Amino acid sequence: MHTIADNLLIVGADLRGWANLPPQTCNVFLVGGHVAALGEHLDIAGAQVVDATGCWLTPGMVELCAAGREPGQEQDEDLLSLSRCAAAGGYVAVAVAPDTQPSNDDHAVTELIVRRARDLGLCDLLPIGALTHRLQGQTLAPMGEMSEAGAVAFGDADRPVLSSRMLRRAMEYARSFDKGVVTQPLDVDLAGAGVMHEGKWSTRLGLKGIPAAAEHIAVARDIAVCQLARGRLHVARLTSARSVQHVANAKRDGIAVTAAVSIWNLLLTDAQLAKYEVNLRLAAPLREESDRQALLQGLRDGTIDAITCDHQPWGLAEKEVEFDRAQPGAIGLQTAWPLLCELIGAGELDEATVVRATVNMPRAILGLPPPELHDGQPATLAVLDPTAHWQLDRSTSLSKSRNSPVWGKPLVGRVTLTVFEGRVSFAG
Amino acid sequence: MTAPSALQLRHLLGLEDLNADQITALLDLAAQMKAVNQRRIKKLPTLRGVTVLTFFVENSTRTKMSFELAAKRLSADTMGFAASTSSLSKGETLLDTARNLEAMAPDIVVIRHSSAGAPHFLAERLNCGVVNAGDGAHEHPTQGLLDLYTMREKLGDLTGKKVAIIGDIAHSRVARSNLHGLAKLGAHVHVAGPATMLPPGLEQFGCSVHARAEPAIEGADVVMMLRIQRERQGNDLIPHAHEYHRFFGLDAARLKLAQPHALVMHPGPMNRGVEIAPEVADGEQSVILQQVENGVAVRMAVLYAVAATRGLDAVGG
Repeated sequence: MHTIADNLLIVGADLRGWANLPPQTCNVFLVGGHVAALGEHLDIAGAQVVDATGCWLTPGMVELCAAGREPGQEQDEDLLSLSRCAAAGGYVAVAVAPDTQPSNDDHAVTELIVRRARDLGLCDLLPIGALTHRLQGQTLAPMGEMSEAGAVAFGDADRPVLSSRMLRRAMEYARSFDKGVVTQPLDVDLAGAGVMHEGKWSTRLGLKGIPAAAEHIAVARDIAVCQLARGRLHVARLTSARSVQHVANAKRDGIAVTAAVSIWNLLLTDAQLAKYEVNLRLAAPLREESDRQALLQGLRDGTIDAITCDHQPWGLAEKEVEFDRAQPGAIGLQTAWPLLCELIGAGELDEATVVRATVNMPRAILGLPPPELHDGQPATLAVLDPTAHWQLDRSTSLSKSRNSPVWGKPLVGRVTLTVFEGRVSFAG
Repeated sequence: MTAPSALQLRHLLGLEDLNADQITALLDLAAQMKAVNQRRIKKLPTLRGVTVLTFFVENSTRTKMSFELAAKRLSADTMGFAASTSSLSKGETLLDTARNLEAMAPDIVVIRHSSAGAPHFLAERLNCGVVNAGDGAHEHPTQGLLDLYTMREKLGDLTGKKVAIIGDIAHSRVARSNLHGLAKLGAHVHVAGPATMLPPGLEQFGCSVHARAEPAIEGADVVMMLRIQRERQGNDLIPHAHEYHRFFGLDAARLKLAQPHALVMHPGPMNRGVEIAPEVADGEQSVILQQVENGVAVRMAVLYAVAATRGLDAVGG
């Protein structure tokens, strides 16, 4: 187990994201894993001091979209390496996608994930159970038993349920257990064998395109089915401007829909694929600058609720190959914070939006209580330094995979300290 | 023979990467090579001791033969490696296969692959020169160069010339290489084809785009027809070959819309009666076989330029 956060005085941090406290500069004293004292001028003789001047002291970020690869593909990631990445990235909870082998369509797999999280004690691993048996869109998965075992929501990962009738029944059934449904909308037939956004760049590179319409047609369908089923829908990653409009309209109509966007789609466009950068082949394809701007605006105005780092570990066998044969996805947990700092630094997102989209809204979507900071409670928090320089490489990466688009590149913004339920899960 | 200093060419991945001076220098070099090909003894000692590996992970007869002949005429040693006989069919990855090949120390690898970007992938990871012999629907730069060579040989300076490219632009690497090359040499390119075969954003190449063949062909100096692949007939792109020929095929009547001196070109292999009528393919304006002949000279120029850039030619030692 990890060290209990004891006799630790965090000095000069800026509180961010706490439901019971406004943003302010504060010292926090931890004893025996608990918050022992809070205050602007707190000074404890003999305490081990963590200088957090200029850093954010948050309740920790929460990730909505991560592949754990355990069980079945532990060569690429397992729940230990995933949890270590999360802690090092300033995350205290990670929703784990059901696309394992076997898939998480049974309470046994759900229990495995929950038990591993408890044993590891590095962060919460919140299983998303399968919506349908083997993610095949044909028969309902046993959502009741998975709910009892700890599943927090249901979805078929990146496999769209092709049948609208099946999706309706699954959303209705999930409602019986008061659970939301997560989808990654795609008109699979229209997307065809596409490997990137269809547009100027796919034409130039000679790669098959996925038209934006293949996504927003399916976003509109999923929203319509959600309304019909009176369910609760979370769209895992939006990539196109039109999809943002659909979500905005649905919210205006009072439909229970939330949506997230991947950090890569906020930072980059399809133009970055000019050299066939295989780590930028993503399940949520990079689209055009107008889409990127619409996604940023959607976040700022609250249409888009959350930012995901879309952690998808793949080994060299899946990534050191031709672009159109590579698995889509990139690792992201450890580099979310510096990339968020980049967006803030560029003036594209403000601090409040980033906090809402990475701390508060993901909790609300997963049904976690709002985070509060009180004397006497077990400490769960993350101290995030927005100015420290580092890079993700062999010496710093904790993932079993290396498929990061920013591997070896200079990053600004580093996690100083993560405490999970009283124990230090990461100290930078 | 020496490579002009403009011709720094460590790899040839696409015509997109070359500027007009480099293209012109390669075409000038190809002209010298063509003269060699017309001698009784068609061989230069220039690349003696240089090993050229043809690594074809997609079927091709003429491009592979053309490269092998080009290498032999420069006295290079050649090895061929084809997908059907290779370990790729046994599940080995492209990178592992390429590293194994590299362990045999070739100086230049000529690669044909069905995935766009495969030559770039190898160029980043291998130490030898990489020449793209066609990657998916991306580029086929030596075909583009031999087309430019043939046009320049017949028409002189290409500035202001009208070139029509008709057919399946979406799936054509030949079209992309020609679009890049022709734009750099100042020609006006007009592409046409059924809208199902015209991908979005073609305007970025500086060309005009037409949904019907006639406006592209009208007044053209060159009419280049692209091959319609059999698997694309009768699916969601065109109803059938007959209808395609009726609306987009080059027959004598449609060719009359072009300039009287217009060249008829085709990268081969042709589907007679589909994209091109037999009498046009065999007609006086057709330069299709001269394209093939020029292909050898152009590939000699490319291999020589890459070898010379890497200090592998006889002069560089």
